[in-house]
Amino acid sequence: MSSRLPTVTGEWIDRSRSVDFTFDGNAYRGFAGDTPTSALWAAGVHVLGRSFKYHRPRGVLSLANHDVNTMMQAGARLNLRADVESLEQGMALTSVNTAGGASGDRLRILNALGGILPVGFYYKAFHRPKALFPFWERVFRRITGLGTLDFGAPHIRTPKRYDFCDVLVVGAGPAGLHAALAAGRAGAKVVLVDENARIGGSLGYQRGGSIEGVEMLRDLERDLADLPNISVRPGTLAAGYYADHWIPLVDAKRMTKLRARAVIVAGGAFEQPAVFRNNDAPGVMLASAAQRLLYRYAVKPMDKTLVLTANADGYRAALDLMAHGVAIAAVADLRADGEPSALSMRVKQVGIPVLKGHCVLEAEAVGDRLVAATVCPMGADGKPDTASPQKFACDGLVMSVGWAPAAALLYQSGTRMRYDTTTHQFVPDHLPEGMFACGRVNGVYALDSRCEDGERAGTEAARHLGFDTPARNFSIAPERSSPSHPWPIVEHPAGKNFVDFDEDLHLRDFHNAAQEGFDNIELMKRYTTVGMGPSQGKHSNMNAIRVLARIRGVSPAEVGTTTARPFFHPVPMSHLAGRGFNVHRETPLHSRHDGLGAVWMQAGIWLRPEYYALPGKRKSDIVRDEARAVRSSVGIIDVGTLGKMELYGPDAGAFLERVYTAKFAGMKPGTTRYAVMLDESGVVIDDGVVARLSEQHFYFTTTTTGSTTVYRELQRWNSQWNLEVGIVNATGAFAAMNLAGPKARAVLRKLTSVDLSNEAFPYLALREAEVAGVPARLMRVGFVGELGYEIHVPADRAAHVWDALMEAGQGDGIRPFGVEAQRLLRLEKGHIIIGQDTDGLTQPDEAGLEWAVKVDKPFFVGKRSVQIVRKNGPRQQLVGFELDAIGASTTPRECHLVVRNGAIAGRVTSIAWSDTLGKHVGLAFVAPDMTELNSPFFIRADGGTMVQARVVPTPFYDAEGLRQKVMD
Amino acid sequence: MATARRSSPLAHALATLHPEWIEVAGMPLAAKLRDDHPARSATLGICDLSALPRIGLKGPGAAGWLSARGVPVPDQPNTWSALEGGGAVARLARTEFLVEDGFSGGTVAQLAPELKPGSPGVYPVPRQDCALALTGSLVNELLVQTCNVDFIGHRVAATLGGNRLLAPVVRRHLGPLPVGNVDGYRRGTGRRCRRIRSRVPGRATSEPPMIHRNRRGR
Repeated sequence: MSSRLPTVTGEWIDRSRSVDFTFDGNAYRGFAGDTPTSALWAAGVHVLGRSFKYHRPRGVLSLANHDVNTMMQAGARLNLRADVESLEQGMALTSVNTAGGASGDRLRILNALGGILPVGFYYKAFHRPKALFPFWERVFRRITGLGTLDFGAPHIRTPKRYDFCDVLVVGAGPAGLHAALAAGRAGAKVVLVDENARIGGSLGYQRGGSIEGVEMLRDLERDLADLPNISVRPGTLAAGYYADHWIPLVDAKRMTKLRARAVIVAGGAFEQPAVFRNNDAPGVMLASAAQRLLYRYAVKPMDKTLVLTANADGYRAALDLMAHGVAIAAVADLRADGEPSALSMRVKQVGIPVLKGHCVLEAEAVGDRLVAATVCPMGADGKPDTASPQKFACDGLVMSVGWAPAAALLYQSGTRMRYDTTTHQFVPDHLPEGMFACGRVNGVYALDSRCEDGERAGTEAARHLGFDTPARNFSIAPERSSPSHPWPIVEHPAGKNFVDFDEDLHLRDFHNAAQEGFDNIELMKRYTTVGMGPSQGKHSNMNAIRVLARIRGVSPAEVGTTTARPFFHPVPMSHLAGRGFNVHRETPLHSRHDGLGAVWMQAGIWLRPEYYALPGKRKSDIVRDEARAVRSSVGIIDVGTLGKMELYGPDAGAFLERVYTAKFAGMKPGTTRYAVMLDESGVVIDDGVVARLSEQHFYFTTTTTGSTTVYRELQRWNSQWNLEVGIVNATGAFAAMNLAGPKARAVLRKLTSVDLSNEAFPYLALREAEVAGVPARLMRVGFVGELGYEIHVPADRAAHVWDALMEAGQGDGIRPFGVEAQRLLRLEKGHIIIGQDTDGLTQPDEAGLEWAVKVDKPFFVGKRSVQIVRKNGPRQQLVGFELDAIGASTTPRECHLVVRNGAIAGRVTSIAWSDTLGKHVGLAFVAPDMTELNSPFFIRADGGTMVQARVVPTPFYDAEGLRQKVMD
Repeated sequence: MATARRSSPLAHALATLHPEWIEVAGMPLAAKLRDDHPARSATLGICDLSALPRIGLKGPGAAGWLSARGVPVPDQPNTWSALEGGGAVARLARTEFLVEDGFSGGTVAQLAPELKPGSPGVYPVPRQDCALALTGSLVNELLVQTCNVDFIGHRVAATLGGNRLLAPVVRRHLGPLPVGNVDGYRRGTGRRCRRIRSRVPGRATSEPPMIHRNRRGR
């Protein structure tokens, strides 16, 4: 039978558009504007889900997405919050965590086993025998899941957006609306967000049998429409707070990262459940949930109800329900003196009996539906007096016993909160600059007061930002009575009086936790898992604090709260992932490499050719061929990814002396020098080549991955040293290629007029000259161990120079080579790569770089640390090695461990097969006492195979360096 | 040996879009793409203007150096001043400047030979930018989806770090692409000119922002 009411003023549904859908395979029909929950409740379906642990039937609790009784799955969409998601035509909804659907869940047997499944039972029961743990893990994951992941679900590319405003108002209830209007009228650019599909908050549904609130909302909406500087965004959740008022706004389609100059939190409060036996039976719901059903979706929540309350809101709910044909069995008021306002009289006038100082002892369900509730007096000690219980037949029970502030954003912003004993809630005590709070989250509940408080917050925010709006004295009247009861909790010997509905935690679980010693709120949270479910404690944390306070005999203020981290409400993974903006950099020669068949690899942020593919050839053969071309003829590699810095000024030399370990003062223009950079702890962080172009002008390179960090560090240092230098990161401005091999000189000679003879342009010299008509900086370097020229040219003419070099080298068999070949070639020379052959702890001496560290300089970054470390001796030592067994079936790889007497004694940093040398060679860190030449050591390779290696001197190839210094 | 021509960082990508090239300051510039459509580019258009001449300089003497040569120096970082011919001087930081010519005007050509290492407190910054002009009614929507800086309503020159690429952005009027009788540029047809106008509208109300991306990021 349908529970849909005739048209209700302000309803959200569109009765002209029906929506067909299924739930657990059964067909239903709702209206556009419905949620799955409202449509199902209207259709008489009251079991909407099953609880997490005991598989108890669950129906509507908050109808506000503050609990997960109604979490569902729609095809590949998991975690669908049926309380608030829009009902869509053709939706095929299924309940989660059931065996056989919500109504016939076969796992409901677990409810009967509750007595042997106390909180934490899994910590104690299933870790022995250890071998069975995976079995139990699978069992529990299967029976406590929250949906079935579909790995074939399409990849949703969710857009992201940035936005900016003067004032962000979070929450569009009466307080938030007044705040937004006040700030907007002052001239501020305002963004007003509310997680609900429409604005208005409680104005729309906490009516108390009157339509005053609805009329106020209409007026406020008209006012908003008159102010184009206010952007109203319903269906948008302010999901967290980050520094400097950076707020992620989450709507159905995307996440917007909004930077506000001021934030007003008017997020209201979460209505809190009372704790009594069977308080989770379908039909037991929060008063605000019943009112939402009535006024948003025109659904009659029940036929006859008991109202359990401790504040004015419960009386309003009774009047609202009665106005729509719900019989009220009684109002049970936890307070001995009852409601002090005129609402009390109105309730009596319509004939509703009021039981002051009474609580609900238990609810009674038959099958899956509430049939009765037992009420009894509540003693002064907060305990039920069970001597004279009264039983009321009812199919509904609404609770309005208190509120907990939606203060997550305030906590995250650093707001200091205090427990206010007049309202029995935490309220802001000290707000950070630019943060404001109003309404229920600020401890203000009366409607007039909330409006006034909102206007105050909006005005203060505008004035804080310098908008010219007159100062006003705002008078917020104190609450006549507390909106929250300090102890809405009733013990029952049979339990099932739930504190946390997500995690099926009943009152006894908290006592057990405290008994086990978990009597601190953070420890109790972790042991019981209170507040750790998908609702994140919205309906449970406050009661958990009260329970713990009573157990320990302290006040809630002394118990405190748990940490509120962003996001305070779950955000879809698709929103977090967003559209991919993973940037990679390409050198100006990218298209040339593409044309040559480059196989790309990531090198830091860059894409570099790993090797150049050839049809029918394996990678390993290609790499060896590319290396062989360099050794025997000429090769060319794009090294434009190296960081490139210009350094100008009269103090440029002095600056380099400080940041690098080598000496530069005596360096002559036209020369280059290898340079090592350390951090303050003496760790090697970068290396490169420094070239002196003139007295006050240096040009130097950094590693591919280090350029940004090095540039930032150099700027940081000079902000302290204040030397007269200009540092320019020219990494992107120059392309660079290394022409290397015995025929490099002959090839280059065809394209430049500079004298390339060994006398005129010796090893490690620098020359500025034109190459193929393009101004270039030429550095004679030897990273790969052959005669070589690093050619740096403006990026926009790099392709021209590359083409010219390729053409000029055609007769000599020039071959482009990739990073893999370069790694092999430099390894043969024993040249290290920072970051591969060093790590985050490597001192220069450990990497064999002591020759480059000039400790006789007055100062360089890391010098003091190097001197201290030298006193203690090295922790490890990088050595060259070769494998004893040539052609061994198992070859060690980089990062394989050096093992001695069963203990780790080092690791391989580089290893490769060298065709030139006819053996595997590599570099490895070993213990300092393992460095003796020809001494053997063992490397544990794949599968635990121990492979013997032997320490050998480096370079492995051309030890005298004659090939790179080759004469003409 | 072939003459050394400049090439845009986007030349390879543009080549696949069947461009008609013109030459600007020694660099081919895609003046028209085969699938250009005025309505589409009025909604959201992008144009590679890497060819425009530009120089950079920094250092405590940079502002004075520019002033001494008659260049209007913006007072504040993250602002810009207009140059004749559609160019601009952007103050990227307290002591760093980007000077860029428009489709006409010779400020860069005048300054470049003088900007050499050696002037006290004035340090040349080589500029090899990938420069993009964005145009159309959805430019701001595009920017808020890709940049974390507020451009709406601001006459801004900002250095952005959004999404890990640093890019100065200058919101200014560029005018139509030159394909007529402009010295230094190859002549184009009248038809092409109209099409190009639609890609880079010259109305002040739809000023296209210039985005400079120091060659593959800086």
